[in-house]
Amino acid sequence: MLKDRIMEMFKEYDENIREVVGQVMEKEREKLSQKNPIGIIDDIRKIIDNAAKRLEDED
Amino acid sequence: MKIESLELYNFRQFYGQQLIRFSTDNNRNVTVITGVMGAGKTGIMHALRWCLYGSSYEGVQDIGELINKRAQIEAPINTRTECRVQIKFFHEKGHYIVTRSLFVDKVSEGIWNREPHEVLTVAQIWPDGRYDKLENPEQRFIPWVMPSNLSQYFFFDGEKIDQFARPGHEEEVEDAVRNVLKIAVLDRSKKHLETVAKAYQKDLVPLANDELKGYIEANVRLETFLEKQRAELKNLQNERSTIKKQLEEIDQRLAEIQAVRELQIRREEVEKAIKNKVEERKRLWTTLRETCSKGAAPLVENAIEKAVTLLDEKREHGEMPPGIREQFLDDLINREMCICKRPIIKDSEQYYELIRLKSKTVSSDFENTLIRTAGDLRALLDSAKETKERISEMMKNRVRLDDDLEDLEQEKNEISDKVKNVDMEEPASLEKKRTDYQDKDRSLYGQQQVVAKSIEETLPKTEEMLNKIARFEIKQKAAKKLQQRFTLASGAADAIAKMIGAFAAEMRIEIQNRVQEIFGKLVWKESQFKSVTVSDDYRLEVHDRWGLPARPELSAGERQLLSLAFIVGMSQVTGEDNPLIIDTPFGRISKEPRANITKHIPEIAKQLVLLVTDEELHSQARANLEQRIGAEYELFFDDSVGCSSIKMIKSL
Repeated sequence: MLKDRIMEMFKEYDENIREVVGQVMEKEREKLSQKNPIGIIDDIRKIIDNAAKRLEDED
Repeated sequence: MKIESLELYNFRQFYGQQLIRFSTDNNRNVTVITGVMGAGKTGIMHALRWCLYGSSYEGVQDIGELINKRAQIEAPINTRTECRVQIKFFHEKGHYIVTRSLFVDKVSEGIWNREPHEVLTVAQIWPDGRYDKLENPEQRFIPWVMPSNLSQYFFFDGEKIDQFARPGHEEEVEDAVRNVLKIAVLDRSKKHLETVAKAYQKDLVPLANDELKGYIEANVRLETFLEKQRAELKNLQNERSTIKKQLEEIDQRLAEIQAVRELQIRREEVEKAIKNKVEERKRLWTTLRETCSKGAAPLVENAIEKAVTLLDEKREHGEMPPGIREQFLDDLINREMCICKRPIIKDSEQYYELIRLKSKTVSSDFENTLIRTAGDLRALLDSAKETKERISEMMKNRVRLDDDLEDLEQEKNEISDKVKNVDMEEPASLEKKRTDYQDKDRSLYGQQQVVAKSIEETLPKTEEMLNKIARFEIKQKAAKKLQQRFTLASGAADAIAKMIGAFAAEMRIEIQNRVQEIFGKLVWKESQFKSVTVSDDYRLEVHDRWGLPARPELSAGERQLLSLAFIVGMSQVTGEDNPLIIDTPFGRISKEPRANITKHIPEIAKQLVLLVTDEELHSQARANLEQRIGAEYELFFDDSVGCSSIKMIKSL
């Protein structure tokens, strides 16, 4: 699958970055039909927040 | 995605309930739906798209038109009439039912309340018969299965797809590649992550101390600079692309003028040869660089030669061990036998010769090192000589290539002069324009190189700045949180930016290979076409047997096939098994090529649905496809009631 091939390209990156990239891509794909996707910035902020919280918990 | 069935209820010209079960068999993967013009073939396509994406996508002006007229007329006053389309399909191991319904209320005879009332439901069916209704399917589920802007590449009118193969339609090709291959998703992800990173950065500034502020400000400056440079690069690319198109138009026009036709054809050959030579020179330089970087041995060849001579002289003078190892001599003495099986008797002449040789050997480690060094140096010397010869050969090739290029450039200039001096106004003025455009293109190319280099040099600086920001020790909790979020967002954007170019290039090459393979199978004048290319500016091109561009000469049918090959190639590269549903696939294709296409068309998709007229599929074409047809239906239009119905002809 194409998604797996894309994610394979990011294998050198830190796991958190990989996860953020994967989730953001998923959201963008959902809204690909919209020229100016409504709420995408908030969606990405949520993804980043969750990833950062996970990191904070680990600390 | 594999479609199992399509159920229509009072949809457009289809009165009452009508059902099509598509073939889901892997071998008999073709479903044929036949119908005369106006029987409802296009209606089937509309039904599929309407069910998945709704009225707004289908551009329906009056949604009441979706409901079958007869059903509306027959409905009693004050009742609700429904039209419905239901698709059952499999997608990524799940089994789903998508149903879209539309209702109108009959207020009085001839008057309906047509306020939009459309309902979409999606259910996932489990193997034990249970089902779960999915929440918010329009926003999440449908785009996951197939976003609406991608459906045009899988459900399409065969007669209208030739836009991909028409000259000047590079944008459509680029859009298709970007959308289907998720490059658009990557692009948008990068852009939006950058926006989010910028927002975090802005929030961080008031909380940061002076040192961190300095880093952030430096980063903002670098990013602003990069943004401008990237925009500049894009402008230059667009400008060059426009010039390229203008040059093509001029060339085409010149090729049409009898007086300069021969010259124009020769120029195309010369330009192609120049392109090939430049590529060859580039490859040669790469090999040369690699060869030189592998070792400096050729540079110290004299020193190695001297060292080897010195070692040989020492050996001859007995100042070096003879090359026989101490262990070997010990073994012969202990075994009392030579390797040629002759005995070595104690106190014999041979015995003392071995003892004498043994006295000349030095400690085993030192001896081994000396022997190895001499051997290594000889090998190095051989390799240095070989490398030197290769480099010399490559340099000769380079000179030859430079000479060839000079000759070709000279011939090109002579052709240009000849065209300018033709005693006709049009070619001379076209040629002048051509020269001006080429000069402009050269200048733009120079600017492009400068901007690209500046971007390349700035990127490591931004990376360094981001690392500094990420490593900066912040004590305040709120600032630390923001810093972490900024680092995640900018790091993800940066990672995508680095990958996207390489990924797009890889995909383009893969598509090109697939398109060439598929087009080669489908096209009937196979020997006429040598290759298909998708250039880095997304120009889909066919080259004829002489290697010259042949796209402008393609017939409508050939353009249709090239476009089909392109769509299928893209679909195959995605690895997603979407069905291909083609309306009027053979409309523009004559009998003989049609027979060839039907031999290969079942291979292009895991599930293929062909909506054909009775005249499109018969004789040899029909016979070729017969073994691959898993389901067949016929659409009947009943003139007396103005409605269509669907009749099953064949099913597995």
